Amino acid sequence: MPETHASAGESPQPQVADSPTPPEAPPAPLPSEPPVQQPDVLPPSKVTGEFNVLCYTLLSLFVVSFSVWLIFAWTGYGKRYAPHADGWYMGGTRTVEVTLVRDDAQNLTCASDLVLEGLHCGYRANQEPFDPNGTEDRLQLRPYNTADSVLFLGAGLWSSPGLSGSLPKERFTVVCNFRMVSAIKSVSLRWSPTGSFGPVKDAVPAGLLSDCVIPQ
Amino acid sequence: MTPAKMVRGAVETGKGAWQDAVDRWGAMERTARATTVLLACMIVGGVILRIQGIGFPPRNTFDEQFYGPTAHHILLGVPDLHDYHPPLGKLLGAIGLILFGYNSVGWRFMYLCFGLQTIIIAFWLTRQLFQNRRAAWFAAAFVAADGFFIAHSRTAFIDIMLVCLILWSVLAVVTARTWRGIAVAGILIGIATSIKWSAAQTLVPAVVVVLLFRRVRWYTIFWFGLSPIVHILIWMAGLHLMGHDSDPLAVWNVILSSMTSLSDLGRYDNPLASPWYSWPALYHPIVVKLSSSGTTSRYASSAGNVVFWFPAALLVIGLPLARGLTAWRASWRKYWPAFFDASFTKAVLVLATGWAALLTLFVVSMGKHSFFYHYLPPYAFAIVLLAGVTAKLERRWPRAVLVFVALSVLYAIYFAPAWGEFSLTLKEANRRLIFLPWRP
Repeated sequence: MPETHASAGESPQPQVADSPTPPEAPPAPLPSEPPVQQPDVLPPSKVTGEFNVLCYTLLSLFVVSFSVWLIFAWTGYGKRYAPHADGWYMGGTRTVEVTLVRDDAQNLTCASDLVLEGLHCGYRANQEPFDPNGTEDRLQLRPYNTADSVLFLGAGLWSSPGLSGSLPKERFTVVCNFRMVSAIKSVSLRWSPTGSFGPVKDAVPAGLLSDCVIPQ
Repeated sequence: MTPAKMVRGAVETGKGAWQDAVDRWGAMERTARATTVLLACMIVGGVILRIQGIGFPPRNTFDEQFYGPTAHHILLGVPDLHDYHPPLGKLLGAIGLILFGYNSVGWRFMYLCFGLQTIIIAFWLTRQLFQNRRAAWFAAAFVAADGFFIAHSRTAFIDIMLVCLILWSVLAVVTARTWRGIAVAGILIGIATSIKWSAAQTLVPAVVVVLLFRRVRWYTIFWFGLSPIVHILIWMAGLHLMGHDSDPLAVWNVILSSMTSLSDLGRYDNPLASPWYSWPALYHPIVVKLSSSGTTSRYASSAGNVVFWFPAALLVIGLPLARGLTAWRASWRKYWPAFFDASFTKAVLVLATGWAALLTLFVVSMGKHSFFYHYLPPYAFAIVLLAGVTAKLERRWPRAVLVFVALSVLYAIYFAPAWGEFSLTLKEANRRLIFLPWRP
C-alpha cells in the first residue's frame, strides 16, 4: 500500500495549541529586568519519522526495567525475599513435617502421566500402574500434607535411611528436607487402597524428600 | 557509528537538555517555579513510593494468585489455565520470575516496570495530544502521585499493564503520519487486548483520532484489523507455552470457554464488586494488597488522589457536554472558542471518547462482575485531560494552579502510607480510609 500523506490544505504536522497571535515587537528588556517567560508551547515538530516517539517510549521501557533490575540486583532485594517464599519455589529446599501411619506407604498414591526428573506417580492418568513391575520408592511421588496443611507430592520418604528401622505402630511425625522439582496440576490423588482417585484443583509442588528422620 | 561517537552524542544531548532546562527555569516566574518544584517532587516521590518494599508481603495477596503462580507454571511448562484472561500479562510477568526467581519480587517486577512506564507514556501522550510540554509534566506528575496507579504498580495485577498499553496504543495513533504508524497502533491494540479483552474498546478512540485529526487518510483505519490477528497469534503462543493445544481451533475453543466463564461469573455476588457509575464517585476502591503483622497492617489502597479524582471526572464528562451545549444555540456558540481552540477541542473529544469507550463494556454487560480496578484505563484518559486543562489554566491563573498542585501534594503525603504499604495501626489506617466502603 502506498504511503499516505495529509490531504491538501491540512498541515502534515499537528496544529499548535493556543498559538499566540503575533505580538507587536516588544521593547528590548532592560538588563535588570527578569527574563520574559516563554509560552510553554511546542514549536511545530520537525520530526518527520513518526516512529521517533514510539522508539523513545519503547527504549524507556527497557531503561526503566533495566534500572529497576539493577537496583534490585545490586541490593540483593529479590534474594532477601526468596527465603520468605518458604522454599515453595522451583529448586528451593525446605524442611517439611508430616504426620503418618505405617500403612501410608501403601495408602498414599497418585496418578499422572508426567515425569519430573525421573520422578512420577505410581499410576498413569488412566489409573493403570505406571510400571508393571512396581516403582521404586525413591522415584515414586506420593501425596502428603504438611503439619501446616500444605499439600505436596514427594518421593523417597519411605526409602530414606532414617526410616529403615521398624516404624511405630501409632501415628508418628517425620521431618524431611524437600527439594521442589516442579509443580503438577494434572494429577489425581488417592488416600487409601480402596479409595478412588480424585483430581486436584490447584497445582501442587512436587519433588524429592531426603534426610527423613522421626524426631525423638 | 563508533562507541566514542555515541558517547559524545549522548553527552552533547545531555548538555543540550540541561541547558534547555536552565533556560526555561530562568524564564519562569516565581509561581511557575514553585509549581515545577512540586511537580518534580510528585514524580520522584511517586517513583520511590512504587519501588520501596515491593516484595512485601512475601506471598500472593488478593488476585495475585491468578498471575504469579500462573507465570511460574508457564516457565515450568506445567499446564495451567488458571484465570480467564488472555495470556500475555502472565507471559510478561514471567520475565520477572526469570530475573529474580519465584518470589514476591519476581512476580511483581514486570508490573512495577509497567507502572513506572505509565508515567512516561502519560507524559508523551499528553505532549503529543496537547502539543504542550508543560501539560505533559502535569500528566506525569498526576499519574505519579495518584494512589490508584501507585497501588496497582505495586501489585501483580495485569491491569497496570493494560492501562499502559492502552495509552501507548493511543499515543501511536496520535503520532501516526502514515499507514505504517496506524499499523503499529493496530499491533499495539492487539497486544493490549492480549492482556485483557476490554482493551479492544481502545479501537473507538483510535478511530476517532484518525477521523478527527486527519493526519492520515481515513481508510488507514483498516490497518486496525491487525489487532485481532496479533491477538490470536499471542493466544497461540501462550497456549503452546502452557502446554496446551495451540492450533486456531483450540484457541477459539479456549476463548469461547473463557468468555463463557467470565459471563457466568457475572451472576454471582461479590462483596468487592461495584457498579460502573460508582467509580467516578470514588465509592468503593479496593485495598489490593493487605498484610498484617501484630498490631499493624500494610495497605495498598487503590483510592485515588481526590484532588485529581473529582476534577478529572467533572472535566471528562462536563467538557464534551459543554461543547455540545455551546453548539446547540447560535447565541452560545461564541463561548467555547473564547476558551478553547480547535486542536484543544479535538484533544478533549479524543480523551472523553476514550474514557467513555473503555467504560462501555461495564455499562452494557458484566453484570455483578465489575470492580473498581476496571476504572483504571478510563481514569487514565480523564487524568490526561485534567493535565491539559491545568496547563491551560496555569497561563491565566498560575497561583490558583500552584494551590491546586500543592493541595494534591499534601493529600498525597497524607495518603502515601495507605498507598505504599507503610506499617499502620488500625486507627492510623482508618484515619485515611475514612469511608467504610474504602476499608478492606
